[in-house]
Amino acid sequence: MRVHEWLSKTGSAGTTFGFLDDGAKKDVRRALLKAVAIPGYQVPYGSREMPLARGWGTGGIQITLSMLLPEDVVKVIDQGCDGSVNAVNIKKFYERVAGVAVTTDTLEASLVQTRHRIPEERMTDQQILVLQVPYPEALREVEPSEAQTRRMHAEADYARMWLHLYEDVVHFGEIRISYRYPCTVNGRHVMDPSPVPRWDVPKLHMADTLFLFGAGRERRIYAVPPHTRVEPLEFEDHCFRVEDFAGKSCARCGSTDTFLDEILGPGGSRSHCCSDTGYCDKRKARWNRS
Amino acid sequence: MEPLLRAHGLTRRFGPGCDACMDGTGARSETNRCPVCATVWACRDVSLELFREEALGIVGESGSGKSTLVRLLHFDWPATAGFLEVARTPALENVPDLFQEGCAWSRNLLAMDKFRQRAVRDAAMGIVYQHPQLGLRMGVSSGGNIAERLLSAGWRSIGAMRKRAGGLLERTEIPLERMDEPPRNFSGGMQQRVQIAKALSGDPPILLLDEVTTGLDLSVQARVLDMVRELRDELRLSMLVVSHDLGVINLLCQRTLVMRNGEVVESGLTDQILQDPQHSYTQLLVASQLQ
Amino acid sequence: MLVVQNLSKMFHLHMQGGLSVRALDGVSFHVRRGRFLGLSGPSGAGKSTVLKCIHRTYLASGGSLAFESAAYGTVDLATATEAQVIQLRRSEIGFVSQFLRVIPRVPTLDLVAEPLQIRQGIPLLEARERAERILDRLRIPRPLHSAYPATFSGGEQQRVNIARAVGWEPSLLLLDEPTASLDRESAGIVLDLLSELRDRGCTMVGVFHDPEMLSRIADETVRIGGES
Repeated sequence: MRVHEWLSKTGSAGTTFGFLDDGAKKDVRRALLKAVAIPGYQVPYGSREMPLARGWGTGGIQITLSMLLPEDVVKVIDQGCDGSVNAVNIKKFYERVAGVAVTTDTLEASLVQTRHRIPEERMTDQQILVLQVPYPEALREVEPSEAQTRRMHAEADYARMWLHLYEDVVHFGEIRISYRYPCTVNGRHVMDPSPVPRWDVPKLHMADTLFLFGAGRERRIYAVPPHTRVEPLEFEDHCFRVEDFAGKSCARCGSTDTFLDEILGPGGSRSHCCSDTGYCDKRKARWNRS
Repeated sequence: MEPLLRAHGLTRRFGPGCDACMDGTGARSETNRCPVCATVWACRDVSLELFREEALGIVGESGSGKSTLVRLLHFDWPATAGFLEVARTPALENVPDLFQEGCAWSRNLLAMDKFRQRAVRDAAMGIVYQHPQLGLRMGVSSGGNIAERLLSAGWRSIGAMRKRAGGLLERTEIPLERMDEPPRNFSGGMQQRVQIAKALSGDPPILLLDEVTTGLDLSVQARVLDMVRELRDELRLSMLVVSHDLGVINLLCQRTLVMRNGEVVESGLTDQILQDPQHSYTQLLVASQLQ
Repeated sequence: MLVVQNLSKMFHLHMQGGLSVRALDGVSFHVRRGRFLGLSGPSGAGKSTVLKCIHRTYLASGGSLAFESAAYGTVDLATATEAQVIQLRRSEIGFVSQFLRVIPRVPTLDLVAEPLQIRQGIPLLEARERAERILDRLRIPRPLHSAYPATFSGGEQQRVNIARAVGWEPSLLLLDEPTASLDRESAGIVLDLLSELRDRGCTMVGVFHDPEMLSRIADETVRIGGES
């Protein structure tokens, strides 16, 4: 259905489709095109007022709203969970302003919006993943000045970030960064993949899917196009490694190859559960059927 | 002796400049600041040649422009005008598009983009500043300070970097057990030696020394200077030694430039400058020496 | 080896209100290879000035100093480039000044060994051995070899100075009052050393205030001051 048809059908003629006005959408789309053209480069844009406080996903929402069409099927997750308060509210919002269908099944969605996790199921070249980013600047840890970090990116002057990792290894035997692990994109820009765990970083490398990153509060958009190299910073003698779940499995579906959340039960008991609830549900359903 | 680095007309000015500047400032005046438009001519029309494996001294008093000159050569500050070229040397092989086909001398380094300037600087130069805070990150381990230069040059093995850093620290007489300590825990002389180690980490053919022993105790100064001398001979470095102390210049350099208010007043063999100074300002400097 | 033509030197002292001092006027002489030329003359006549003009420590005001160098052929030292002079000083021309240049933290043995290492590329151990022999010859006691010369007596410093200049066997050696602070016996040893050096082919120009010393070593003499 075309947008103007949808507008007349729902009696919303005269208002804008998808909440954002055309000017805002153009601004975001132009930023997205530039971001895709320069993988990993943070493109500034004019971040608009959203019916959600800044720092709660306004960047991701603006990207999604700039791209939605009535036939889209949208999945929204928050730390892997479809049922969290934020994820549910954002889905309701999209239903109201764009009339889209929503789902909890990753493979059914045309667009997935996420906070701090990448779905376990490998996404296709027909899908887009939009990530909500609190702090887009990978170098902020070593350089507080925005002017300096922009210069460092422009000149590919990343020695101080590497030095930070070196110091970690020398003092602690280990690189201490767990989420927001810095990666080199397309061999050029160092990017913050958003606060996804290390577990998810390899999913960005040479993927079929387009990844879009939106930081509303910080007013930056960046992207990793399909089939792009995304390489976590590592040393020859100190390689990047993901979280180790050896000996642990999901209490709900029995999975041993997904990212697990640790759950503290009554009396201090500990169990683990898949962070990706949609995937966990599917596995459980299959398990029940078999 | 072949030249390695050539500079012509290096100029650094702070302010708009005016017609009165030339007469109001410079070697024949008392100041480097124009009395009419308040423009500071930190460095004006300085030309020099640095030969391979030689030590060139730059001597002058406050406001002479000697430190500005070093900062310009190190690309710390942009030049207002001037031409700077470097000769073909193995250290610069990997810098893209630096030399034109068949040319023995590079393009003007001052006109290049920052990316390539940084590449040239990382490949060809090491610098030691008067204040260790300028050349070192005080909160990072001394081994890390050295590693930063190596990381910038593309080293990616922690073991290899620590080995190189350890070797350099040993050479500059820093005990290896202190490699993972930050320089803020060290004495002044030790901090300078860490700076020297850091400056040499990339095996640069050129070493810039900006008042490296000013402010240090006498015995500490002797130790640092002695080390610099040895390194100069052992590593066959080209050195640019900036100092207001004629004794330091005499010890380290075969040739010297004398600067006043941003301009070069006299240049020549160091012993000739000290024993047969031609320019009135040089004669004043030499006569003011304590010993 | 060295032909000095019409050498003159003026000092312009700007601080003293532009005072000009004529130190040399129209000095000419020549030195043949492997010979010792002595410069004699009254005190203040400019003998040291001549040496310093040859060494380029002073800039000659006029005249020429034609030197047959191995590196550049015949070159006029008065107008040679700085690079050329540095190269000549490094490998062909040596200077024994009146005062020992003390380098902090370098003991006597290394002061003498260093030029051998740097100029002739001789390895450290061998350079030190040779340095030791020269110092022994000049009767610097062994315990002093590892001491810093800053506190030595005038005579000892003078002998260390000579050892430093003589060890690497330059082709032209300039000597400014090399025996000034030495007793007769030490002076004799120094002169023997210099003679041997000369017999091995080193050309020398030396200033002596003592005419007797001069006559013992010089093959020819030129008088500076009083006549050109």
